[in-house]
Order: sequence, then structure tokens, then C-alpha cells
Amino acid sequence: MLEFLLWFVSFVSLFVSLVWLSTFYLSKSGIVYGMDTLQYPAVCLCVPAFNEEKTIVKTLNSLFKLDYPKEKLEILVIDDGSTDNTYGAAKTFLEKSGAGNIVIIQKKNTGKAATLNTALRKANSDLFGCVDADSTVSEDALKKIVPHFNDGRVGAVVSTILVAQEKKFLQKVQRFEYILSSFFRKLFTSMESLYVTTGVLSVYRRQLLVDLGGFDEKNITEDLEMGMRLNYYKYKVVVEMGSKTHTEVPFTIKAFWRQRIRWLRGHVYNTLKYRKMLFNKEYGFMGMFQLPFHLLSPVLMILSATIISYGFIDRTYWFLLKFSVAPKYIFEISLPTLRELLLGTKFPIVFPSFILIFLGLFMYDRAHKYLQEKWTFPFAFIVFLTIYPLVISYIWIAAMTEEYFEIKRGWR
Amino acid sequence: MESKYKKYVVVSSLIITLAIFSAGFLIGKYLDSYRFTDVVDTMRESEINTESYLVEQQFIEKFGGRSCELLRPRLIELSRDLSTLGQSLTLYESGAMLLNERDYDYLKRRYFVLEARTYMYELHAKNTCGDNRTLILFFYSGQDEIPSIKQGYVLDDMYREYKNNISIFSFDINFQNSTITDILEKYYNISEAPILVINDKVIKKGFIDMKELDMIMRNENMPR
Repeated sequence: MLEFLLWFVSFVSLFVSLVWLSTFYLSKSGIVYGMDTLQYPAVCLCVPAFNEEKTIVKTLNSLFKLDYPKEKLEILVIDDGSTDNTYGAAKTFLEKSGAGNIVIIQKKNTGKAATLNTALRKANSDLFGCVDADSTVSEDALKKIVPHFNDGRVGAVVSTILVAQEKKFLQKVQRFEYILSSFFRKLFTSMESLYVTTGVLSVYRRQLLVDLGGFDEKNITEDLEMGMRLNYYKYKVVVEMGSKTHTEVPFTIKAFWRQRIRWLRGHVYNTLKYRKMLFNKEYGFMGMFQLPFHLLSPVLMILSATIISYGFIDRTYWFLLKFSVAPKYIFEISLPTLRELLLGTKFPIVFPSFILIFLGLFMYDRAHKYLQEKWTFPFAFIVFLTIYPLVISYIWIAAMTEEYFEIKRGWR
Repeated sequence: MESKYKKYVVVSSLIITLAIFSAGFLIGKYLDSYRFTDVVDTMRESEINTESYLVEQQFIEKFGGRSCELLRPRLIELSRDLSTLGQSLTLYESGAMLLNERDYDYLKRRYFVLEARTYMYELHAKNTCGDNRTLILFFYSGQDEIPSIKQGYVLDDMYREYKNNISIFSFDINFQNSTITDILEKYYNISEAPILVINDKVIKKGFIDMKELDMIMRNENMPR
């Protein structure tokens, strides 16, 4: 049974890895459209903020420095009923910088989606963007995003997200995940199957958002929902790799757990919400490959985690049993000979798994090179490859359980 | 990417995945037969050595000589052969893609016969030459029962500890197709596992820990 599960997991994982590897080699490089100042569309960037007094100034400073015609750019900072000094910090920044295109609004707490809708109602631009108040954007981030809207089928463009601070160990581990995710978003874009419009920096056609009814205020992952909705109405979501943003990531287990539970519950909820796309030929690669595997991925992760956990518990049990009765030579490790290795190995399982690991490492390397990121923190990388997937799998189990028992969804 | 290329990516990836799995399967199949041949070869080697020992023993008895001195190192070699064979059988069991029960039963049966034969020679040498090697018959349950597994761990350590002064012969009491195992079980009145028979005299039922086993072996005047 266990061997069959291993075969299943490694077969599907290898197949999916090869699909993305082929995509990487077959996809064309990003399309760049020529554009002069006169053609720049008007953009409204909304910064919804709740208790972000520590980070809001950094965010605003990066937006202030954006290389984009000021007369075409409006920045709406909406304090969503913060209980700290977010409003004061933003106000002070505004006074000091003298930025004429930044507007700060204070309102009662209604949640992120509702806050975005408030901004959407106020905006009158061609494009509408969302920037998280704990993130910073590179100077050319917006300039590189807008040309994609020359393609009428593009509904939203998202930026590349990297980790802002890598001081704590958990942040160092997450750094690898963000690099890989950004790389995969590029591959998803090549296959026209990107379905997330991240909160860090996403830019939409404003009128399209209005026509679609704005953000879903009951949704805890309104960015994922909007990405899926755009795909549902046959609009493309694309990533611009040159548009780099940096975001704060949780550094405590508790905060990390809460964030991931929210993300994963949103994942389950929204996939079910747009289940009509599943196995629907009308949606091409998105409906026939991306979404089914998107749905299968937690199953694979949980299965892998179960197999690994079982293997670990089983080995620990036998180790302790041996240690209890015959401890003398237990720590004497003798490396197996090549003959022992060949004869004692179940090749049909080990061979594909070995290739899968090799492909995985290769993809990590490509992702680093593509994003021009350096290979650092080797210990964090080992943890990212070994313990981190297990943790994510347990969070998946917790998220699915919470979703199944309809435990109240929430942001905080 | 155009739609036809997307299809091409999916189909070619599926073909490559199937090819990789087929390659793993074929290598596994090849190694399965190699494993079997490897055990059989080791077994043949061991059988030749056992037969050779028998002839050497008869030769020395017929033409005189210091038979005990000459035969002792040969017995140690036979014991080592058995240990190697045991390891090969373990590799065969752990690495086999789909364990061929018939082949495995056959190899196990031959292994038990070889063990019993070597035990008889060692016992004979012990009685006639006053050899102080300790001989242990270990009757275990092959159905992964904890006491038998624990006893196996203890005996592994014992073997490493006493090296050339101990010979351990293990027999699975749940194995149906070995008449020699049945005879030994009847002779020593074995009905459960684990049971240790030490030097054909001491019979210990149930799990025996390292300390107790060590004491029994000391009482049997076993030099370190």
C-alpha cells in the first residue's frame, strides 16, 4: 500500500515537474511594448492599511519614488480603522515629502476587500492597483507593468514578490519559497494559467473591476478570488518579472501559521467557488491541467507528509527499540558498499524519486538565476527542502479541517 | 504559448514520465534476477565450503594429525560464510521489487539446511575437540513479533562483541516448508518464540537481555 502511494505521488510530481520544466524552455521571453510619456495610462494605487505604523512610511516612500509621471499617478492610502498610529505616520510622511498625489483617508474597520472597494469607487483612472502597506516597490515597478495592458486580454498584472527582511530563521526559509513562487508565476503566465493577483502589487483594468462587481468582501483571500474570477471571465493574469516588490513575512510560528491557514482556506474555498472551470475544455490548459493539479496538490502534499512522517516514526520506533536492548554499536555507522546499495534498493521507486529530486534542485537553481538572487543560507535551504513541506502539509490538514467544520474565517 | 504547444508540453512530459518509470521498473526487474543469482551463488560457495570441510575432516581422521587445530579456522570460515549468506538474503528481501514468494521460500529453505548442517559440524567439533566456541540456536518468529526482533538485536550485538568465539544459527518457527526446522523444533521442544538453545544444553525461553546472555556465556567458559 505504502509503495503504491509512493509510486502515485512520485509519478504525479514528476509529471508536473516535467510540464513546468518544458514550459520554462519553450516559453518566450517577456514582451516589451514601446511607450512614451503621452501614452502612460492614469493609475490609482490603493494602500489599504490596518495597524501598519511600523511599515507604512517605508511603503509610501517607495511609492513616492516610483518612476512614473506624477500627473498620471494617484496614491490612495486608506486607514482601515487602525488602533495604532498608522494614520499619524502616513500624515507625517505626507507633510514632510510634500507629495501632491498622495491622499490619506481614515475610515471604520471593514476589512481589506471592502477597503479596496471604497478606493475603487473613488478612483477615476484607467488602471487600479493594490499595494500592501507592509511592502515596498522598486522604482520601475509600475513602468514595467503597464505595457502589458496593451494586450486587450490582460485583466491584471502582478509583480515579482521577494522577502524584505531575512533576519529571522523563518524568514530565511520563506525566502526560498518566495523565489520559487515568483519563478512559477512566470511559468504559469507562459501557459496563461496564473490565477492569483497578489496583494503586494497588482494592477487591474479599473473599469473591468467595476464591471465584475469589485472585490468579494466576504472572501478572506480577495486577491486569489479576483485572480480566479478574471480567469473565469477569460481574462489573463500575468506576472512582470522586472517589477520587483519586497514584502514583510511572518517571523513567528504563530503569525506564520495564521497567515497560511487563511491562505489555504481561501485556496479551498475559491477553488470550490470556481469549480465550473475544473475539467472544462473551454478553459484550456487552465481548466484541464492547472486547476485539477491545483486541487490535487494538497492531496499530494498530505500524502507525502504522511509517508515521510510514517517513515520517520517507524525508523525512530525501531531505533529506540534497538537502543533499549542493544545500544552498544547503535551509533557505529558503516556506509553501505555499492553492491549493498544496488541490491538493497527498490529501484522502481528510488529511480524516479532521484530524478524528481534532481529536477527540483535544478528548478530552484533556475529560479535563483532568473530572479538574479544569490544562493544563501544553506541551512535554511535544507530546512526548506525537508521540514518546511511537512509543516505546510500539517497546515493544509488544519486548514481543510477548519473549512470542513466551517469554523469562522477571519483575517486576524 | 499557443494551444498546440501546450498540448505538446503535456503529452511529451507524460511520455517522458512513463519512460522514466519504465526504466526504473526494468532496472528493478533486472536487479531482482541479479539478487536471486547473487544469493544462489553465495549459497553454492557456502555449500562447497561445507562439503570441503567434511572431506577435510574425514581425511584428517583417516590419516591422523592434529585435526582440532586444523579444523577450527575452517569452522570459523563456515560461520562467516553463513553470516554473508544471511546478509544476502536480507538484501534480497528488502530490495525485491515484487518479492517472488516461491524463490524466497526456496532460498530460505536451503539456508536453513545449510545452517543446520554447519551447526552439526560445529557441535561435533565442540564435543570432540573441547572447542570453547559458543553455539546458539535462535528460534524466532518471522511474523515481525517484537520479542523476536529484540532478541535479534541483542544477538547482533553479541556476534559483534565475541566475533570468532560465537556462532549463531537462526530458524523461523513459522516457516512451513523446512523439515529440518521442524526436526530441530521437535528435538528441543520449541513451541514459541523467541527461544535460545545455548551449546545444546541451556534452553532459554522468551526475551533474554544482553546482561543475562552475557552471564550465561561466561558460565559456559567462553573466552573473550
